[in-house]
Amino acid sequence: MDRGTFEAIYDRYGRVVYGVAFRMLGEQAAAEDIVQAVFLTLWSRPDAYHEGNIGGWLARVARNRCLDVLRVRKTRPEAEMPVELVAEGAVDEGVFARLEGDRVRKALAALPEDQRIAIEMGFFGGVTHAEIATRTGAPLGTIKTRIRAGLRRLRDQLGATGA
Amino acid sequence: MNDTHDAMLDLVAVYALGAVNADEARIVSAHIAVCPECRREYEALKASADAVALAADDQLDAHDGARLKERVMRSIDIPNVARRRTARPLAFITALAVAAALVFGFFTYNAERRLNDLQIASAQQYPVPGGEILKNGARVYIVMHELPALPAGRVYQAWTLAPGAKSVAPSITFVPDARGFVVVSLPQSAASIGAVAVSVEPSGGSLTPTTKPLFVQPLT
Repeated sequence: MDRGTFEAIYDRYGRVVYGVAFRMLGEQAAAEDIVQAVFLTLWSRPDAYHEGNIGGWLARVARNRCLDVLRVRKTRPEAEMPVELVAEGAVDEGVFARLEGDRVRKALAALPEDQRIAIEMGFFGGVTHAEIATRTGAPLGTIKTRIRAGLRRLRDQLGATGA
Repeated sequence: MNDTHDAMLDLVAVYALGAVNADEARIVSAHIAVCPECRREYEALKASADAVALAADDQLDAHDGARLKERVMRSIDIPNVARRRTARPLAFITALAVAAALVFGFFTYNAERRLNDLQIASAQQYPVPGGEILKNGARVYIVMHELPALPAGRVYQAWTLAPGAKSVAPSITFVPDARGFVVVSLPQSAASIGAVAVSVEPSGGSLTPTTKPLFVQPLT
């Protein structure tokens, strides 16, 4: 990978990586460390990225590194920690490449509040769905159903108008 | 569709979002490998779940954004740090240590200096089977060259033993790349580490080792 390509990828997805890290860790300095770690991984070992949209891959790597940080901080019991996301991308990640943050935020805001909260806690909260159920007071089955319904609605909204 | 399978489809969605525990991840991973319907649902919802990350791209203001970009671009200005690794083992180790150091920002880098000037004279090296442990300043790194690939649901986990302690404490989990190569910077400070061990554990890590460690290396 040459420097120009790297810089273009950073310009496109650096803010996404920072945002994921900041929302998960809640600290600017820690989030900046994650950004540097993730992009230095891309630079020094570009073969670690195999397929799918590179922005999606960067976001997953960032999220997994944040989980490591949270695990070391021991801010919550290990049983409440979610497993890392698999690095491989989905078969069809074209939607990711086309999207901008504003549109995703609007799509999330358009979800029923209970679905949006479950999805945001699940992605950025660094907790399992069981912990989401505990924190929200909703039954576990309800949380799973909300997450599935919300992701399906997101898919419809982002996919249907996304080309 | 029966209720049991509908419940599995719900769990597939949670798996796509990354909010399942390690046991549930193993169950879903095994199921979608043999169930086309759940596999399709996973693929469809994973793209949506990944897109959620984009909603976080509004957390950085212009000033901090420019400063952070400068920091990241400066960190890659060591020419071909990783590409030296197959040529000279010692340079390889040094370069990796430099790269790892830069990741965590404690190493003051001057872009004008050559790589050879970045010898970590103070770094202590502890050979272990398949790699090295490097201690430099306040940081400890695990550098492994040829770790075997692990089956799904298993990860490598580092353990640290504090000076004078009788039991190890859990540290970071990691997996090597396709060639068995990995560099890990331990979050704990070097002063708090008397020995380092690595074992194979379930995804998500363990609170105490569940398998015999690959090695236990004192850092004296």
